[in-house]
Amino acid sequence: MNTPSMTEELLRIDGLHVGFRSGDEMRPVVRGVDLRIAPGEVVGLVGESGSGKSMTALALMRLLPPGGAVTSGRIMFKGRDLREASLNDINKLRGSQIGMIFQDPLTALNPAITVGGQLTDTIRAHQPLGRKAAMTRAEELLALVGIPYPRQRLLAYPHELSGGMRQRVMIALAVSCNPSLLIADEPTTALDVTVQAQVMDLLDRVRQEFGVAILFISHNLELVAEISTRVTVMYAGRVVETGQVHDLFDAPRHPYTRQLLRCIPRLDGARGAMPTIPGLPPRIGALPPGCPFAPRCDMAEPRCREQDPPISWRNRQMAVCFRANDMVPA
Amino acid sequence: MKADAPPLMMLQDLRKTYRLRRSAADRLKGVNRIVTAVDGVSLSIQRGSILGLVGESGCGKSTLAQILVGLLPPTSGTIAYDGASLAGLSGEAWRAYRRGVQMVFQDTASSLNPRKRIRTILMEAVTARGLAGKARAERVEALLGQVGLDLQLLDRYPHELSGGQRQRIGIARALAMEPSLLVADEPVSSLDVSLQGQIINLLRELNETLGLTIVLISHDLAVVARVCDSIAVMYAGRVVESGLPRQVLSAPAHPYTQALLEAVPRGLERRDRKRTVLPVEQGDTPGGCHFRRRCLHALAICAEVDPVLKATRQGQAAACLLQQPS
Amino acid sequence: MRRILSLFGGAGGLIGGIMVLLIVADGLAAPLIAPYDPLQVDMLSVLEDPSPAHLFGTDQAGRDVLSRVIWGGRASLEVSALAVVIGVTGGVALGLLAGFYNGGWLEQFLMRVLDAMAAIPLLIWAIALVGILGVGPFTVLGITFGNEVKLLVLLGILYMPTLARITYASALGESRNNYVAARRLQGVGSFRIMVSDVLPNCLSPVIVQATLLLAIGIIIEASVSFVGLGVQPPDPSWGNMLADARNYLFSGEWWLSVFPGAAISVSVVAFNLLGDGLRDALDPRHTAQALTA
Repeated sequence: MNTPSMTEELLRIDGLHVGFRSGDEMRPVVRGVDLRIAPGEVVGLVGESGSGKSMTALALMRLLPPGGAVTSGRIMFKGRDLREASLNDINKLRGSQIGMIFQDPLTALNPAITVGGQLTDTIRAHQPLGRKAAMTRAEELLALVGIPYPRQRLLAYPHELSGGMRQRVMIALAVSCNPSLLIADEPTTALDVTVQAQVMDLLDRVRQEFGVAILFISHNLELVAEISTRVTVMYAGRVVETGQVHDLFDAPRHPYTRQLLRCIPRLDGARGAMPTIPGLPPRIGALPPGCPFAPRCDMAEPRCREQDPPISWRNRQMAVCFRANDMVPA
Repeated sequence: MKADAPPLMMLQDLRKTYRLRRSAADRLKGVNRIVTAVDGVSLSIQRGSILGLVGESGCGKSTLAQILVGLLPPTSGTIAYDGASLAGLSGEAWRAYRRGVQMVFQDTASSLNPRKRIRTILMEAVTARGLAGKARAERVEALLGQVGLDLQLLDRYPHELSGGQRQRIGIARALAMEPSLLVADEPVSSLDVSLQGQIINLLRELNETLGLTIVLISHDLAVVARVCDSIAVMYAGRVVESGLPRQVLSAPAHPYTQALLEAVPRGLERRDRKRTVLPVEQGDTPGGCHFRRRCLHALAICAEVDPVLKATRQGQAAACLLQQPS
Repeated sequence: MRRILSLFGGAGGLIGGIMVLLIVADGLAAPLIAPYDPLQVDMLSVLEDPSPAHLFGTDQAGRDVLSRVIWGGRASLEVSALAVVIGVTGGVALGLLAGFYNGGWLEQFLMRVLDAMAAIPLLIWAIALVGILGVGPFTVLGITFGNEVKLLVLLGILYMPTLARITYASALGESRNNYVAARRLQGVGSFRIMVSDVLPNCLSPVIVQATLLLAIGIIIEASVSFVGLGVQPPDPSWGNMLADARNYLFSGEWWLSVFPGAAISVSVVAFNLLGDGLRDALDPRHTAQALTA
């Protein structure tokens, strides 16, 4: 029903490769990722540690940690290749067109500047507002994200706020200049369950209010299923599956997705041993040939360890697997 | 697990308070700033069972864990281990308690000394237990086998291991003391979902084969539901509900437990989410019922009376005035 | 090769390390490599330019400057190294105790003692010491010490607050780690835990600081000799050679100041390079592994 129009893509990533310099070698952490986000759409990016999901987002914003670099690929935002953009242009984009919310609000917010100060800094960096006007806007934003006593809170420092509050401030910061895309990288992982519910609720409200597209990155499939319309699953730096969220989770076409879903404990599930995926995720730089998931896959065949699996499409659901059509619905 | 056997540990009205630094103004006014981390907890831990302790940050579960293993003394209340009150223990009896109650920590990186090899870490543990000579190396190898790890890990340093491997070493180290009770404080929170089961299943196995009593502290209700024989929900230093996981999680009696369950994300079930989101927590813990300011059903009386954990109809226990016939 | 480089934290550290090794070798082998007796006076060859016979020239008493530089290195290093040893021993002990037994009276007491030690500047102490013990060798409890012992003990004591603070900061943090709690749960005594578990994790910043203090010690020795606290003439030290050379700075006998001065500079650079390299080598290496998250 919600078909993203191919002509007006907001974000389009083609063949992204990101590597980390280690000595003389370039260790690949993202190995050929494609991603599309349409305006107003919520796309979930799912993966566990080592999947490369966070690096993809950071590469997009040119915020890779030292030693990291995009080695190839295109990042098209509103029709413009971000890799060609100057640092100045990227700075203008960040905050005003693309907002970002990180996992740990304590380290993402400047501990030495008040909440109001950080908000007005961002606002005035992208909009021609005077100090008073910016403060008023900041107060509105705090109220919007559900922070009680917003006027007093403007004077608070980040460490004086609880984790949930800080995350709300980060969301306020991220939407302060009305961006078209919000990148949320594990925004609720450090939060308690009840606070997490509040923040997820806020994200949904923000989406409705601002019409902003969201790239929601998380290892928590329940959350991703809750908020996204489309989902991309990553493993060991590659996309392994992508599709409409409920189609994908009801009938996954990639063994990793299927095995991962089995591991998620349900509240009403039976008691007993918890399913796991045997083995360990591959370490960067020590990647075997063929499909990276083959060593742990319960459907692997000899060719999986030798050749790269093909891309298989069916009903708008894409899986990178030789046996994508052999899946029995969970 | 026999319900009539005496509990392995009994906590009665346990309290732990901290004195905060006072400002000059406070001192002048004679105000004492006190934080109550554990506010009157009574629990009994049955031998051979797995107790799940659930709660969010600030509820006191970690403080309670530290009191259980003896790293923190309680401010008031009694703890009995194997029938004997801890307060009076000394000498051999104290050492027996020390050995008997061990802990596995949440952060695997800081729970192993980064400068020591795995072999050293385990050998130290085994030596502390009293073994000597050749018996130590044998025991270390046996322990590794018990937690499902390969011998080649012995020569490595903690940072060369994965999170899951480190956690298993933490468990092996605890097992070296031959404990009767293992307190596992958020043992899998920092691990990938696909790997959490490996640790949880290991704990289950140890419970089944060794009869090891386990207190599993977690914020993840689903994991607790899967594995625990009984569950206690904590809020603001108190146990607000306890009972069998099946009952507590399907028909929660306490409003906080209800809110907690509401908040758990269930996107995969695709329910139309009309979630009642809990109002934001504010200020210091109030008198009376600590939850009353956020409770949808709070009455005036909730501010005056401290609700006590009492049995409800189905056999769980809840600390809520609404559940108790007035 | 890569292994060695990473051990020293890069090329700088390796170069520093090699230089330090050479300097130490010079000090140890002084009797073997010095061409002349550094104390040998020869009034017929006073203030000679550097020549094949005297590579660094001669000084105002006809003594060979090269030999004096070689022997001087030994003296300067001795003072500097022993001072650092004293400083590290005392400082680490105090810092470790304060950090590990934190929260109690011991921590407060030790911190205040350190504050007191750090409050009085070097020169005041130096003058006071000379005032009490006089210049020249002194005897305590029947044992005779050379003059430089006053300096190195004083320096050692003055190094303690810095080293203690560094250790204290590490110890404070490490004591809170769960591996310490785990050891307690094994019934191991506090003191044992402090020494065998916490101490090793506090040493890297101390080692780095120690190499830097070695460099500073050499300079300090040079600057307090005029108070009477350093190595006393006729024994050479780079410091007192420089002090003597002050009289000849503008009269053309450049070799009297340039060679000892260069020796000091080179040593300071060497220790600094080594210290910086060690800092890089010892710290991020362990945390860099956390990249797999």
